[in-house]
Amino acid sequence: METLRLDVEEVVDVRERFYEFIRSFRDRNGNYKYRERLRQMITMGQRSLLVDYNDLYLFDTKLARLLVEKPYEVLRQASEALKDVVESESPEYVEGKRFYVRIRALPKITPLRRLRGEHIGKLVMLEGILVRTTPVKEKIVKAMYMHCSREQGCHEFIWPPEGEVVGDILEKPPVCPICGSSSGAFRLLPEKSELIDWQKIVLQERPEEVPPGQLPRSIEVVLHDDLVDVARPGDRVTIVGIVRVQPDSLSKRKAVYDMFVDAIHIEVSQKILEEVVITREDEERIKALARDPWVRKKIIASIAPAIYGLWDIKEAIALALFGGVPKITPDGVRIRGDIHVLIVGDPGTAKSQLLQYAARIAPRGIYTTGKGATAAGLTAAVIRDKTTGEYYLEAGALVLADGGVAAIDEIDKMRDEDRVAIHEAMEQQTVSIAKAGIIAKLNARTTVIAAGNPRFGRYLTNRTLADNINLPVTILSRFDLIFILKDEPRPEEDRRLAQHVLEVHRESEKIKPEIEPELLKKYISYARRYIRPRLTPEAARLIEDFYVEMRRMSTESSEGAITITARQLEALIRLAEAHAKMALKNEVTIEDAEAAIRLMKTFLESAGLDIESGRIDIDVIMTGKPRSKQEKLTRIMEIIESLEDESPEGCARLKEILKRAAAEGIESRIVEEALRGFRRDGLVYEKSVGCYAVVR
Amino acid sequence: MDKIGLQLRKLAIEYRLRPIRVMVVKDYGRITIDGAEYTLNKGAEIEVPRWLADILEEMGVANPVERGLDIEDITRVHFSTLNARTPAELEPLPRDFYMEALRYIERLSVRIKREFNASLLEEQQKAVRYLLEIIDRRLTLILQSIRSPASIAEISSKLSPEELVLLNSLKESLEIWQKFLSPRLVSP
Repeated sequence: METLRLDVEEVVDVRERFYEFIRSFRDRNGNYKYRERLRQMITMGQRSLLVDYNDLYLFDTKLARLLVEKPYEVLRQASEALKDVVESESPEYVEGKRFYVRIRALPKITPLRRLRGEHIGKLVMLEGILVRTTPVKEKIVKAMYMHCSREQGCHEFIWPPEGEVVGDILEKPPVCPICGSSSGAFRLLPEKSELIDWQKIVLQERPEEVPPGQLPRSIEVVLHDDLVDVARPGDRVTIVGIVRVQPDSLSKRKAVYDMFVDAIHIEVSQKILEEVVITREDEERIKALARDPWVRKKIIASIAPAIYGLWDIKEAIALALFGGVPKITPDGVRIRGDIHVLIVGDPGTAKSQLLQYAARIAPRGIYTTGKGATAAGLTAAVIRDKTTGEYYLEAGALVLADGGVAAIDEIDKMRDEDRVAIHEAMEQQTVSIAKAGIIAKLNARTTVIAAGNPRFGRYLTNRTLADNINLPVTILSRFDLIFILKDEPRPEEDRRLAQHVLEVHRESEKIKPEIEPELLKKYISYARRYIRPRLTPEAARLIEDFYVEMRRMSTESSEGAITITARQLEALIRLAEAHAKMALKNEVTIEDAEAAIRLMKTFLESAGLDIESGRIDIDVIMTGKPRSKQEKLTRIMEIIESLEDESPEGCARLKEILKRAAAEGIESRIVEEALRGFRRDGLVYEKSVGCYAVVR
Repeated sequence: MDKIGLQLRKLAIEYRLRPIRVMVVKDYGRITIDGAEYTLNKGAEIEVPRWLADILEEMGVANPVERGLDIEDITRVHFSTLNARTPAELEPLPRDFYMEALRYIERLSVRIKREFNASLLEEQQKAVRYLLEIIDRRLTLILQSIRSPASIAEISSKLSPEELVLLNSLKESLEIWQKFLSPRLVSP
């Protein structure tokens, strides 16, 4: 039996120690932890035994340290030991199988950025985001060769010999192990060889770990056998593996090597936001902060304190950062908890600064601009590796921010084809891709906080929201809250703003946030992780009453404009939950429901106002046209139809249409606009000059 | 008691006075200690000084909400400490590490006396061994760094309050010693 020399005095028999570890290790409750896991492994038909590094460390510190220093050799012998134990437990299960000891939870995480030459050949634990995966391939571990020579004829043999496996490169045997001859032809028989699943992934540093102004680092990781397809792009993973090197494929300088990791174990981070470390001291500070009756005000005031005013928008951003509670119904339908916020504003109203601040304090914040983002960059892309020609699936910003916040600035400047990519991510919270033979669905449970400029440079109050912003209504309707920032001169307010800005420039140290950004980030992370507030009957009743009352108003108005829909009702619930989360409360009370209603009313009164009737009309956002206008359009269409029937030419003259419309109180401007729209949409055509007919 | 002993004692007292959260598991009514009033109603989560939490736990009235330090935590610290070869590689200890470790070992001793469990005995022996090895390695690194101001600056942010007491005391002694032995030149 092979032994490993640890140091001069001590020799550890790895195989025997592992055998003993699996058979005799008892946990704190006195249970034979690994004997039980082994039985479970056999029952489930698995071939990997998961070992907690801490247990091994407690069992034999030297062996555990040796495992980190010389993982290949130790793991090879550990696998043999595992096979021995399986053989003693269930001899028939062993036949022809390959067993693995998988090590999890090393006591120390090596930051990806700090991987250096000293780690080569050592066992490390890395954390990051899986950004690319190749399709699963098959790798030969035991090759079957056929050797044919004139003297001996043809015979088959397995290569390499017992106890060894094929490395990264398949080398032809120097001599035939059966006849001992090196002459003749050696032919590989792939389908008779022993193959295991193989996959290459790319692990990237988490965005929050990347130092400002630097590019995220990444490393290739090779997965074998039962580790393939365990995780998908966008997943936050922890990988235990051995650091190895391969020739730098780009340069032909053979002395330069790239590092990669041969994975021993891969674990998908189950809890979102685990990466923000909250120590016991932090928890104490967070709880103390939550006890403050003014905590919500303090949080809102801590969002971009250098920006004057904009209390409602800051409150909306704060609520979006905390988010509501996602729910999964028994039939598997997921109701999102994320609150999407859109800010439409005149230039110079600090939208970008707000967004950048939000991305900075969000536990998983990503900031991007509309011009700098493409559909693939936001969702997912299939890319081809230049050197190997392999196809990879690479996760985009919304997938990388899964469980966090994506701040998209200048959303109106995005190309239409890029913008539609966020439709699915915003409501279904997934990103589906079907390109180059790769079909996948990735998680994108991301809160979107977006900002854009009005279409005409400044927000025109006499136009509707949909007219004012270059965004399709399909996206507009997905936002829970939309705010309009108008830059209007107001002497008193302007003086206060000027004083604030001057103070920021004069004594910047005075503009301190109420809560330090670092603590606020932890506070938000803590709330998102642990707080799941439930609606109290009183709060539910209040929201219900508000909804019913708003709907009743719709029936009373002469135009029948719909003030609120079920989408806003869901948004109200999310807002109330987020408001409760802000104070780390486990119950959504009347106070929270009131705050949500107030914010929703502000939103509806600014963004959802029908400028013609002066009433709230949700259709302004949901369809881009207020109900009053929709009715006028229907009426114009009816006029055209009736004129067309009456006229011998079979079309309606513009003069006639205008005359009849005027008789019904419809202005000529609206008729002309409607005709342009009907023609653009293919509903009406110009049969002869100035004469219109309906397309049938 | 000498200065260093007093400072360590002060740290131990501060640790005992620090508030922790406990869950009351038995109705006990109101108690007033040192002017502070506590209402002990079953199911309530309250904050009390650690020493009081210990008494309440012993009486079966309340249990600490937070999990204390155990062998797993000591193992983690042991691994990272023994990997550190230079002061730069040393990692900070979790808060109250030494106090918590001593308390954990003490509690194990009590349990061993009460239930005579071989695995508990083994756990205690390991915890003691690891703790002594941690102390030994950290002490070596502290002593290594004491000779250069740059190293002191590097290491001091990673030391526990108990270790800082030692470092400061050594620094002071070293300064006195160096001053005493430095040649005093008389200006012309």
